[in-house]
Amino acid sequence: MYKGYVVDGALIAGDPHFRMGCRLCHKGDDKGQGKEGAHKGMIKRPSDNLKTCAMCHKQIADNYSKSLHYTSAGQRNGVMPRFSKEELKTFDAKVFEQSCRSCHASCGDCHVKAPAVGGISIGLIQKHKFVKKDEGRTCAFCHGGRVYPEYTGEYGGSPDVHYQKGITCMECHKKAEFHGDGTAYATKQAVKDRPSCGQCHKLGQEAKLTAKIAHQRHQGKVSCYGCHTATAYRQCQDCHSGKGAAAKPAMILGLNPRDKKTLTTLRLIPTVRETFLKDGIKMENFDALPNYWDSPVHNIRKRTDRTRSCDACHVERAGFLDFNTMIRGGSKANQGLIVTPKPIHR
Amino acid sequence: MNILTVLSSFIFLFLLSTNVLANAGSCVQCHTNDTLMKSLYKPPVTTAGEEGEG
Repeated sequence: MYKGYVVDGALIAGDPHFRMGCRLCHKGDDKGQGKEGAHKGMIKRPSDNLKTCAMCHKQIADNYSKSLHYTSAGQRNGVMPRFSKEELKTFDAKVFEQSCRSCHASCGDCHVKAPAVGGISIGLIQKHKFVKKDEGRTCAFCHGGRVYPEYTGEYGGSPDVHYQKGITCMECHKKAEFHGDGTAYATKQAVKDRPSCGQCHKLGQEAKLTAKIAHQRHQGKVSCYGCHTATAYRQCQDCHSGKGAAAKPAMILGLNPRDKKTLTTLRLIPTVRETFLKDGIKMENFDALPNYWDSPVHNIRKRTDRTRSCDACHVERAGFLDFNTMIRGGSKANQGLIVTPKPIHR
Repeated sequence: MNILTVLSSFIFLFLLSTNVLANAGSCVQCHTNDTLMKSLYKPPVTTAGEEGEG
């Protein structure tokens, strides 16, 4: 859409980013004739090189160079245990930089121009204004397959109660989570000061006695998501390098692979045995990791089938991972996530 | 505020404004012109998402 390239002239006099002219960041030739002449040597995405922003925002750029949004290291570290040493070398050379790493966010993706997904972008967020945040035009695109549409309800079912109350991404996910704090975390789970329900919802302060008892009984055994995720959420499966994955909705409850004491919502990770076969990677240690991982599903409701009735879990076992619903040909490690809720003695 | 401060502020603002105009050049002329941008725009060739969705 052409409007994605139109700059608001009124910004130019007022915003300090424009004081040194377009060429400071974009290069190109402002004396060049026509579009081709002017664009010669132009850099479309100046902030892909963090040094551009570091000219003025050095501390932020330095921290961001280690942030997971920039390094995409979480994707590499997440799949790495499936590979032999040789396979990891092949993965790094053939897959990571070209595929996973191409998904990293530059400063501009969040502050200037909406990121392109599948080759499509809406262009400049607010006519080249350097915005502090605009989650619906930034976070929503990269996380538009699963988390964001779950949150808004666009994926089906009901929207997350926090969304209905007007809470946007950055009210829970703080700035340091994106900009980084200078530490190169291996995974998003390791990041300091991630959001948690308990920051706002203190145990013991429930209005209803039934809620208080339910929380006491399940504390340390079931995650908040386990009961408060409202509906089925998106499960991507059967991902093949270069072809993408297929998706369908399901609620999956099982043990958290990172903490086998806790029941939580699991999401099917689309990596299958043949995912990287095209790149010459068989995944010799495929069974080292399960296909299901704990997922903070973003469609939270106060009342769900599981909060209304104990029977939903303890009798019907609705949504629980079992041998019948488990992905065919999946990892042997999946079996370790199956949990059978104890019956209630009435 | 003494007269020297006022004077230097005026000089700074003047230099700033001339710098913006000098550097803006053809980039600003085209990219702030809605009609021109519409005429120059070529829709992108779309590609399918490759690695599933986030």
